[in-house]
Amino acid sequence: MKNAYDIVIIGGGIMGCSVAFELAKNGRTDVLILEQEYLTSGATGRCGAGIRQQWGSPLNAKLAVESTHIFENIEEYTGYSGSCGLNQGGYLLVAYTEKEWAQFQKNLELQHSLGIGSFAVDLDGIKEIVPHINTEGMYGACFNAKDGHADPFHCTYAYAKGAERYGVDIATYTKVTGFVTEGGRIKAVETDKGTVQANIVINCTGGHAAQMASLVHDDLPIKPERHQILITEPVAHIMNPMVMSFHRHFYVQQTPHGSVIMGFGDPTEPVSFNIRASWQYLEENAYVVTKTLPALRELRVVRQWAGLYDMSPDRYPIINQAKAAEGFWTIAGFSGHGFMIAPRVAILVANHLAGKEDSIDINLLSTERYAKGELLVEPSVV
Amino acid sequence: MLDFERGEKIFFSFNGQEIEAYPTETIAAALHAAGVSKLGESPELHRPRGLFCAIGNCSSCFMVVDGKPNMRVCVINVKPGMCVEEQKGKGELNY
Repeated sequence: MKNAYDIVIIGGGIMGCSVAFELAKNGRTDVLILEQEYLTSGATGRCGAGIRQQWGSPLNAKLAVESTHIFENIEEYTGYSGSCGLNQGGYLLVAYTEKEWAQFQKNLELQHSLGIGSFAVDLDGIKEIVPHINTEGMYGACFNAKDGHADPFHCTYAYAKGAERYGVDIATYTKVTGFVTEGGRIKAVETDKGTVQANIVINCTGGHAAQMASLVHDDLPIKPERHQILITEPVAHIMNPMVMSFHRHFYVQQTPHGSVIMGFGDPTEPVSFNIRASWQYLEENAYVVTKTLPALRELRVVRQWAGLYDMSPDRYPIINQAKAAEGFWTIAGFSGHGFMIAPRVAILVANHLAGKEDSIDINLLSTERYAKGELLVEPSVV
Repeated sequence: MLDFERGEKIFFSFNGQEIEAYPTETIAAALHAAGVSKLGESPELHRPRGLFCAIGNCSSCFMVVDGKPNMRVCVINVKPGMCVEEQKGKGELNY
């Protein structure tokens, strides 16, 4: 770690590492990533790592489609020697209410207009895709074969190693303690290992983003929310797609290794930095998921853990430059779908900072939208 | 002197072959007494797997018992007429 950089990125998750990679690719190689623990130690390493294009609003869908294209070749794209484990088994979104089913029809229309090959299936069609599913109470489902999941650790390391090859420095176990501003501009980052001068600081700290931004007196409406997840013992291949229900707040997928990963978002979860696992979650998740997928009843749970969603008011990311500190950017508020759109968001940010044009207007994602009341509401989030 | 109450002799099947046992034994113990030490095969390289931790912790003794895969036979008592089979690789869930 030198004592001055052009750009300092805070947070060594998928967002921080992909932004570093894209910046370096655009010639801004004097970059440092600060990570308080190890790469992927925050939300990235705890996430379900689903990749889906079946969104209900155009911007998310566009970000997801273009990100999926990168995930499909991420090893080549970043020059990574490992495998990022992309498995495109599809996403099966099941509808349990009439309202949800109606929303799905609207989503499909939107997705088709963007060239996403998703389609609706009836109960027999659902059984064809996942033979052991219990369709009781379902109205139908949407399926897209290009959705899937990847390995969040390898993806992050792919970006990190690629960035390092361009000359980016990564300082792990380095905690940010404060910032120095001068005349309304960011000047330096204070860490427990010393002060680093910077022209631009990018805050990619997920659930901690609002706390971090408050150090430069920037008020962001991003709130941390605990989400829990569990993994079972491996069994022979039993299901291709990620099965997901917004109404019952769960998602289930089988990894290529054979273990089944599932999550349940408790709708009553309070705002907090708590990332402890709870037995209540284990019980509730097992109950909800085995109602839909009874075959999974025989599986033993190997491990469970929790991580933070960085919730924004409209469940859309916030990409914002602080008013009180020019040069201090925050990229957060992904509300549980940051991993799957990170590749495209990183390009958007890097294009902006490199003065290049982009087909997406970055200003759409600033906090201005809350002041103006022009929210980018996303109807389809677990 | 310790007195072992083994109970009445019973029979169960291993890969279709009849094996004698005592109801106080675990499946693994009964199989070992009958000279069977290979209980299954590893998932990737299909190497032989047998008893390892003997306390239901390590997953080395996974077998298919009465059609259910991934059963830890080192901690499951044998019952008359039980159907025990070698597990080759990852267990198959029934549905």
